[in-house]
Amino acid sequence: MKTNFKNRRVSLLLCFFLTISLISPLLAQKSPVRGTVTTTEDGTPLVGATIAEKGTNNGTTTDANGAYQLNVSPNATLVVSFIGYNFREVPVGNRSVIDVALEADLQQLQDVVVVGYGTQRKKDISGSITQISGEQLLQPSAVSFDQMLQGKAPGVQINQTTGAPGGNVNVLIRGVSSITGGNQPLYVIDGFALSPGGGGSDMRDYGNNSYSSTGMARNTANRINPLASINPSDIESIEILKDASATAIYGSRGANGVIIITTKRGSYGKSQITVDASYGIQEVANKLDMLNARQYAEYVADGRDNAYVFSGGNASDPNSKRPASQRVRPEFRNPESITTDTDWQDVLFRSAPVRNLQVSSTGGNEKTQYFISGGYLSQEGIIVNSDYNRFNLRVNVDAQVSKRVKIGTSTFGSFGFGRFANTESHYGQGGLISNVLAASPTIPVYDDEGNYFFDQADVTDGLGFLANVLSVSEGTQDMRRVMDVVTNNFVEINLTDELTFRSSVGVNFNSNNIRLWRSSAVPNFTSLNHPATAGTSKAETLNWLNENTLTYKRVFNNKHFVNGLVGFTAQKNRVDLVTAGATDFPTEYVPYISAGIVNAGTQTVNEWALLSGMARINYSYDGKYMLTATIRQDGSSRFGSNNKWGAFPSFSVGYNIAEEDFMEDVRFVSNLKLRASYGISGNNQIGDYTHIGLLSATRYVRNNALNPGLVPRTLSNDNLTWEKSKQTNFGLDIGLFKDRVSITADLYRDLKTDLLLAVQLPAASGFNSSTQNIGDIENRGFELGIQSTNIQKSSFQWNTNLTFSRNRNEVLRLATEGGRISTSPFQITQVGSPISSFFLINKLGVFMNSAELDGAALQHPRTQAGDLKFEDVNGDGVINQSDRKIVGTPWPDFTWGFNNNFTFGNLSLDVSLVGSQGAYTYMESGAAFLGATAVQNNHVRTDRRWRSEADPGDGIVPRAIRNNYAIGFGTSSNFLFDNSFVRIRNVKLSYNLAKKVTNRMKLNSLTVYANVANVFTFTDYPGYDPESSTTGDNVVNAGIDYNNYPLPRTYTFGIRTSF
Amino acid sequence: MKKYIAIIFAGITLSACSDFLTLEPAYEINELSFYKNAQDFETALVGSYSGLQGLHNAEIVYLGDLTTDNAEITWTSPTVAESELDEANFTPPNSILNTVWDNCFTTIARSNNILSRLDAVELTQARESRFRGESLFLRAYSYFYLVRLFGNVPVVDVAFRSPNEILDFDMTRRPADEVYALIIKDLTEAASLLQGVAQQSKSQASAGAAKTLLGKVYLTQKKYQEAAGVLKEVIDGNKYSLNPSYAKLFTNGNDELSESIFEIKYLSGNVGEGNSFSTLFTPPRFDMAIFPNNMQGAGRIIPTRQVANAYEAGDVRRKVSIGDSVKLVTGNYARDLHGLKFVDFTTGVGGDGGINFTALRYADVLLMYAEALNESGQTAAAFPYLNQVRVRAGLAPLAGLSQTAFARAIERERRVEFLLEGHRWFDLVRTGRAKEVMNAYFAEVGLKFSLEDHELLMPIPLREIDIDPKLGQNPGY
Repeated sequence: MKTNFKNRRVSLLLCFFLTISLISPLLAQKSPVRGTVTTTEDGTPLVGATIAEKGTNNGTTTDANGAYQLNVSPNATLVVSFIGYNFREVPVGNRSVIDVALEADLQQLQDVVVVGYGTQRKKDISGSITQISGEQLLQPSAVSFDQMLQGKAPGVQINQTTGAPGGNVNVLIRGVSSITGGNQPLYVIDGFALSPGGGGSDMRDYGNNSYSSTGMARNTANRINPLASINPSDIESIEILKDASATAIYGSRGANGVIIITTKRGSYGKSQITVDASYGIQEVANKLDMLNARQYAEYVADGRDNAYVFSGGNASDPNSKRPASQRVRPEFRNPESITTDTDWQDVLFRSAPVRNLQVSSTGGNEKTQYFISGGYLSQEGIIVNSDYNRFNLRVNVDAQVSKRVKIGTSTFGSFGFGRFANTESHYGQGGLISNVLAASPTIPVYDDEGNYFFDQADVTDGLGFLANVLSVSEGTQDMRRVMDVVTNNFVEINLTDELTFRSSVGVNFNSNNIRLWRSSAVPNFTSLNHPATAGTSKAETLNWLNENTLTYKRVFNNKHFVNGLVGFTAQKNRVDLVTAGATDFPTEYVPYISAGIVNAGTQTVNEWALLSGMARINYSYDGKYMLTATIRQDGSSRFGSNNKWGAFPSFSVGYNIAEEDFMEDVRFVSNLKLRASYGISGNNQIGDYTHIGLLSATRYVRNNALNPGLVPRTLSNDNLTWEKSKQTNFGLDIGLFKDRVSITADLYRDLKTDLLLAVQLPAASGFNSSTQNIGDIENRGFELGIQSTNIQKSSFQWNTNLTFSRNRNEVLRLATEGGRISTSPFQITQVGSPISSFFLINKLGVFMNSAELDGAALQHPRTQAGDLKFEDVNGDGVINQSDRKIVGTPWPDFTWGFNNNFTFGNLSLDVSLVGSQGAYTYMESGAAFLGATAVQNNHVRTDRRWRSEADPGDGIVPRAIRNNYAIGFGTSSNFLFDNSFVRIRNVKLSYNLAKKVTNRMKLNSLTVYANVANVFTFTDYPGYDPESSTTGDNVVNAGIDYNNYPLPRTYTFGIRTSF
Repeated sequence: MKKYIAIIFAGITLSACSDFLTLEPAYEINELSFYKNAQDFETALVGSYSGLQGLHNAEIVYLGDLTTDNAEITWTSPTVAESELDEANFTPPNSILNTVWDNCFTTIARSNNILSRLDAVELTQARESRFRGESLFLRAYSYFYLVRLFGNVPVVDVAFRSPNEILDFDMTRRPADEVYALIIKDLTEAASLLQGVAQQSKSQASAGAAKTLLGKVYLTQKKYQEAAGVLKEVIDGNKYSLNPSYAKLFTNGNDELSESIFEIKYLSGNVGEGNSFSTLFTPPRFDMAIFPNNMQGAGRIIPTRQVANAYEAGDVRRKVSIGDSVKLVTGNYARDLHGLKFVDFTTGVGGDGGINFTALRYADVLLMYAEALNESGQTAAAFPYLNQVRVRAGLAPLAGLSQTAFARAIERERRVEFLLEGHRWFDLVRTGRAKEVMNAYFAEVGLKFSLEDHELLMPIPLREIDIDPKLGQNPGY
């Protein structure tokens, strides 16, 4: 029903716009004009150039040959424009054929690259910057643009860590940079530097927190990617600044790289309306193969018999002789008799629609240009009771108020809201996926009366309080509403022809509301009906920014190009967070804190302020030699009183050999540029008040009442300062055959020093740790991007874009020599290894028979055949925690992307592939669904377990045993998996209706498309998705999978038209 | 044009304003804005005491009972740390040992912090004495656990204000004698500072608590004369007496009883101030109906069959301390041994038990005094004190035992009197009987574990050695 309604709305809207466009040309006496539009440079025809009759809505675009025809009024003036070229006004007079040649505009995006606080000509760039146009990004089902960057930019590793609607995406530029500080790049949208908030919090404690009011109040973890507030179809281009020469202009925020987003702006010419409507269906891309009812019953019986025999009994003993945890239900002795076979994943997952409607309007006259867009996205989740919706609006206006003064605004707002599913962590903490993976397939979903089936016998047998997943899902509400408004307004004054002053004032207001509810239908580890809790939090962020720059641009003698900049900026951010939690609900009809007793809550106000001055000089000689030097001075409230201010210089040079005279004969080389750069940038994501010694509140009981207390929490550190990145970059740009093939290669070494570390202090000091600038790490890497037009015929074109990134991370120095930092229960950071390497007891296999046990190092004296075999790293004959070693890292050896575009006339096919090689993921959920502990249901892999010496299985899966000693350590490399993958990320087929058809329909263009996102993934990783990471934007703990929301596969159909 | 010049000026003015970059967390208290008056120190002291909740919630019972023949684990997948304590196989990474080390030193640092700040503030003599006395008691209380568990440990009696001060301080482990000297000095001073000070609650240190603890310290050091002397003062002070009902000591409402000398307070009601004894001591069953919400037990510290059999016939403490069966959701009962002390049957929320843990009580004073007398050769004089405890338990008084037999009687009495109160490990180590008793127990139940000489001291937590390798490990680990 709902679907039909939405579709009808879309078509109504389309009809409306179509009608308007049909009526408008029916005016006045007209005479025809025709001609072609070409470039001044080499006379190539321009396809899709706009020809408009000045002062009217009358206009057309050129066809594939650059030709146009238009009926115009007498005395009309044509305005001919094309993106990347200066527009021209041509009076028609009494001519009927008017050919127009347009001159390329150096200011336009086609030829320039957006850099910090300005633009540079592409050919003058000597730093490492990747430019991606909005066109390259379009993938209709994607909610945020960051996920679409995957595989498109060399040196940028992108992980979609969750499939939740609007969920987290991790963006890592040139490797992990910080151990305790943030790793997010700085995002600058239309000149406004957003405070990097990351995409989604670490969810490891989330479920567990929901069993108390304090926990609920503390559950402010973010599930909505803040970048989802930016509408991808508004984006004109994205520039990714990677090396220090590019990022140093952002000073203490540049060390993790900078991503600059430029949105579309209006241009002079005919006004145009574009409507893009799509409808998609999502389904879970990968379902896990679990044991079926028969296999499960057999496995449970096997494991319980093994445990009973291990503890001294006989497998033939009846249940009455056995302790509860080793009993086997009679029907499990006869698995064939079990008729129920429930696939619980099918109960949780569903196919779900995603709808997206985007409308934009652009146009303007010689004084004022505008781009206005609005849209609505509605995505239901592939997990029941989850969804995400977003409204977005953008107004970009530029106005030439006088000959030398221009003002403008970039203003956008978005409102996102939805219900989120708690898929992560154990079912005893409300985790939905753990629930469906653990649930016994031998029980039905509903009982005879249609109620959710719940089997007390399973609980008694040790399965724990595993309620029916539907009651858990319905009993959990995580409702979020995020409003984001950014307005950045500028005035630009051309003081002279060369000197421009620009000042901008911008404000970002963000409000983030969360309402949480957990009913008593959601069990925890110890009780089926844990009393209901509720929580709420409201965060308001206000961030203002004032920037003032003076730009000087001049060409001397046609050879010396000089571009200089000085600037001053001030920015301040304030986050006001209020939270509350409640328990003791007399009824559960009202899932708000007000219906219970509010007995937990807090308010925090965090502020930071930043003052900066910066300067840049960019010089190039005859397109041959180029250099750029920048410096920025940052003062930050986050740094200790001894280190309030810091300077960040950078320097880069370039040499384009192709411009030399002696290269004139080497015709096929169109570009051959060598680049080198060095610079220092910083990372100030170190917390707002880390340098101030704080007290924390505790409580104690006196006279049966709570008494507040205060204790020292952190130690002051007046020397605290930003983390530094000293980066050297060597690059090579090659263009062949008139840039039909262009290759960009970069080699870098990034030395990160003064890394903030929570230096572990001896407990005897009374402090657990203190944050000090002490660590050094190094990222070294190589990245390659190749763009090529493989086949270029009028009927068929094939373009490819290949990216390859390889980064090596190594820790050079920590607080103590040989000291280790446990970055997670499974990971350590130590000198000589990459950050957060997996440090685990190494599983070698399974003891296939008792002979193998002789003389082998054992973790327990009674280890038996069928148990796991571990590596005795220290050779002491015993397996214990001292035998842990580094068995892998969460960082890939390399990642790559391979994007293809095939065009057959009006038909276009885009296929993009991405891949990652050599990274590992620790499957925290593995202990349950791969653990062979004869309680929860297991992955079908457990069916290949060791059963007897005669039937030893695959040598990977140990015997099933319900026992504490024999199953091996809960944590070992048994649950660590290589997550290498090759993914067909996206396939899009689109058809552009022929010009003559669209002209007849009075449309500029009409495209219909079909898209499949997340088509297929080739991987050996046994979980839902190899990119899963429960730790969200806590990049340092990447590679821990505790049942994230699986990625959907999405089939989308859409129509895009402009008129 | 003027407008833009004004903007530039505005910018420059902003930069001149250095306050722009000086921001403090307005919503939370930092150390510069606190420790200014008596009320602040009261609040800081509450903070010092609050650490004791965590220490006694589980750790002290793990170390005092699970390590011994008193308790075992019946949960099928215990943590490595729990298994190690149960099996007398202590290792440096043991997280429970690490928690105890950390917790004790945290309380010591909180005390040092208060002690270091008292001089800077004008306070009445009475108030200052109390703040100082209570802080010294807490420091000694924590050091006493450290020195008994780990032997040589760092001695810190100053507070730190910056990373550099910590770096400059001698953090090496000092001989146990030095630690004991500090403990005795602190307790002696605390006892005198707190003498006559009105005590609002038995959760606060008092002269009686300081003397009781001092008695235990002397006893541990085998200074029996001194022990007897200070314990006699507690007895003669007549402030404390045995509670007629043994059961009352461990059930809801056990606050401020006459037998209580120093207690750790807990509060139920899901406010984060509860304890975990309800689940720790009860069976890990999923079909149990003994708590609201049919909460299950965790089976982490379960009385052994051996300790259940150690009670003499007619001992009222048996049924107060140990349950033999539990009621099931089906209405039936299942045989499953479990602990009953401090188990709060009024709450079905894990970690929300509201029954106080009595850390020092008068029965301990009497039995320690009897032990001190016996060990110093006054066996005859010791009987009445032992017998007071026995009679309260419904048992016949003992008489006519030799010094050695009396020592065994004390050992037995302490075992059943203080089951699940975190005493037995320390008692056995103090009397030098740990190896003999534990290895006999392991043999009796057919476990291949053994307690070795070096295991009478616990390993220094790995975390501390990782941070400072110079700290050195105890021998044998």
